[in-house]
Amino acid sequence: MFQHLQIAYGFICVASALIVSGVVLLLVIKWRNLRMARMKDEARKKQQDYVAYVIAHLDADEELKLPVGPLGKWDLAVLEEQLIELAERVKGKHRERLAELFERLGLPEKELARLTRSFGVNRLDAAYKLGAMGCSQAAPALLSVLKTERDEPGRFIIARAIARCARDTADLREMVAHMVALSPESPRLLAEILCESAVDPAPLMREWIEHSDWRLVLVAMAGMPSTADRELIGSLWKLIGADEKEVRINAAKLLLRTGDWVTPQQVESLIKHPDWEIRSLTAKSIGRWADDSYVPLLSRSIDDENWWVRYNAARSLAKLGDDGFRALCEIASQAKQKEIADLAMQNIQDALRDESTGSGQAGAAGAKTKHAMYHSYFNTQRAGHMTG
Amino acid sequence: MRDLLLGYGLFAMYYVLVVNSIYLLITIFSHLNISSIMKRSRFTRYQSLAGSERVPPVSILVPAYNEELTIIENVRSLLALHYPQYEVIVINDGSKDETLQVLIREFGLIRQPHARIRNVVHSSPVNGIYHNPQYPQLYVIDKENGGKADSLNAGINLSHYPLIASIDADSLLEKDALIRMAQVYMENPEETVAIGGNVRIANGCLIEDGIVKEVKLPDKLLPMFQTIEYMKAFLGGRIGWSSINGLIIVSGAFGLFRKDCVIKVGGYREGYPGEDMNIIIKLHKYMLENKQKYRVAFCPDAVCWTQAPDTFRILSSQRKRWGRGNLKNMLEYRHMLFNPKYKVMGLLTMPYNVLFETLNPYFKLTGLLALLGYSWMDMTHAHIVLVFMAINLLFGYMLTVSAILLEERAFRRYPKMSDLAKLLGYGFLMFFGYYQLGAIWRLLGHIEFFRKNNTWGVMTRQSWKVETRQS
Repeated sequence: MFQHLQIAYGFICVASALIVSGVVLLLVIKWRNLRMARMKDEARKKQQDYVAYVIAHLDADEELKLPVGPLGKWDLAVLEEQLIELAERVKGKHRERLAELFERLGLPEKELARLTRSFGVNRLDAAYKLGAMGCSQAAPALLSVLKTERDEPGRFIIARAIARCARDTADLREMVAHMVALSPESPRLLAEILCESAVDPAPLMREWIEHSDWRLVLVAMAGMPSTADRELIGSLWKLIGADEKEVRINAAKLLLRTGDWVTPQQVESLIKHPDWEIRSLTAKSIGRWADDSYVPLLSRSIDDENWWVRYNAARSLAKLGDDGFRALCEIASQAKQKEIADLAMQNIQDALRDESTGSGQAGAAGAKTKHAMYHSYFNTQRAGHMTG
Repeated sequence: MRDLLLGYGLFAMYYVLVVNSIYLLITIFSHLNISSIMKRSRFTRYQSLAGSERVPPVSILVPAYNEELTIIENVRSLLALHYPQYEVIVINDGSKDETLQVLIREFGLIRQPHARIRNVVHSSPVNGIYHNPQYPQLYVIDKENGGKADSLNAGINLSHYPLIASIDADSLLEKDALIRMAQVYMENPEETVAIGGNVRIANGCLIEDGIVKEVKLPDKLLPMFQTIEYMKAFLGGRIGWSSINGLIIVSGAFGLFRKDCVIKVGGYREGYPGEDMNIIIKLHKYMLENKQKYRVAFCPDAVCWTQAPDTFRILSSQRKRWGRGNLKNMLEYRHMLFNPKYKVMGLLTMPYNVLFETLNPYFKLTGLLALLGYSWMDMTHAHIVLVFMAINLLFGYMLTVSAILLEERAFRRYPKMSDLAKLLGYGFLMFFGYYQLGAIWRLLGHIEFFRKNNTWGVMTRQSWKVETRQS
């Protein structure tokens, strides 16, 4: 009994000491945060006019002037914060002018020193700021810091800074190679990061699309939308037969972006592809191209075993003018399965409503033709009520 | 008899020490992990991500039962999110009030007589689907009453996107909450099966047009206690649990899921409360049994604001419901307990949950009674009761201080010095009645479970405008 009580008293003492330390720590942190907020607020008020001047003169030809008078520690920190905020919102010439200003204020040098000296959050803070400033001298240091960062979110922050500071494609290649090795499942985020670079990543995308490492292929495909060109069509067709499903789907997505990149025979092969995702993408893409020569193909897809293929085929038919509308009416009136008839009917209604709300003579004529077609198939005089 | 009472009382004391020590360990994990979260939160440019076509589209599911007072502001706040591609699916779960009518009126919705939904997971019959092309992102499903899980299943059946987010109809999402979760998802989309958001108490805050404009602590006692309770659970607990992939719950108020995984585990379980815990246990179980690499992540800077019950009647009803849901889940998945096949879930999370959540009221209340009985028989040992209570209080308060420390280090949502004093003061007060009531309500929840009472209980809402005016 005595022993148990001794343990309990010991615990009470330790817990009380920890609570007191915790509360003191909290008070100190709170006091420090409030003080910092007050100092920053004062500095922000002082810098207000200068920041307004910078924003107003981003388009001007003459060099941006430096703030008048000496800058205190807080003044410089707040000014840096505000200019970085601005640099994150602008692009091209504006960003270059801000980069010059950062240079003249001596900020890249200061952050580069912090990057190599500090650890943890401070090191990331420096990396982030260097990235926002677009400081190309920082690229080698950032690359070496990336290799020592163990934290996953931290790696993405440094990778982004490298993309913003990259001197050439070699920097980007090195960064991606390292990231892919450690975070192989994030091609979209890596592509997003690459597209933030002032260096054109297109040559890298062309190189990786042919790469044997499917992780790089995925990064290339995710980065394509802004850099794709017709020369890659051949490579993309090869990827349709890749072992990795994700690669096949992404290749189809890129190929189907425009109807000009695929022949009718190729479209037919894609809409019969074993992957339902590719069949569904094909059905969806045809609607976007608005090419009514594919109406028979879509009419057949309405019987596909996969719900998404049927859904997208019906939606696309509704976008293919009078022929597509007629095909939907036929499906709705003849389908043996209620689900398919309902799917067609839902899209007929949507199409009728869209035509009714369409403007101009063409819209009125289109609505009239579709209503007439609807009457002939469903023998009703009140098609209007269907559109609500 | 005296020896028996003393022995049991001492057992209860060591129980408190062990359970709280595990919690302390988890809190330490939270402290270790918070810097990684801070890094992401501070240095990621969510603005540029919010405009990117590479961000995966999300279907937001909003189950609504008798939510006529809050639903419009909730939907408006969801339609104004900073996210590239998403849809909002409100599921009216056979409300007895005007929930459906106010939605139809406000958004000019039209019934789609031929619209059908897939039947990938089971849900009650759907009466109608409503849509207006002027709000292309918004769909409303009107269905027969079947409960929250059933409504979420109906939402899954209609959803068009690969990710689903479940949101309570009485909650408000911060504009960048979803894009913050998307960043976490995009860092590892293959392995991430679910991400939990941080739920904060909105009582006392200034709310305009469905947006929290000014963060303030609640003025009323019960919401204030719940603010601290949520802070402890979400920051002190869930950050730590997620760092060891042992998170057992993603709050029903706000979570993001991979739809294909949710479908693979059969969707949400109907018929019992605690569906938010149930879906996460099922996901863990499925992934571990199929030997797939996965993670259930937590994103504390993705914030959802919710109305906390401010009366004892509503709070007791909520806590009894939680008690029932927890007990049902623990009984249903008892085979996972101490089973090495289920790794952290089987060896730590589930046993901890049984010990701390399910059995907690029994041990604490009976332990106290045993020591009271012992002291009553021999008044010279009355101090033992005080020692027992002091251990309970000090260990618990230490965890409270630790959670406030996490808040102050990483988020600083309550900026004033008086806020800190209030948090510390009320955090202390909670040990004198509130926690004991919580234990009793949990116990009553268990009794209800065994009496097969599966009703949702009382849950009345008030408009966000009224809430703001009152504060």
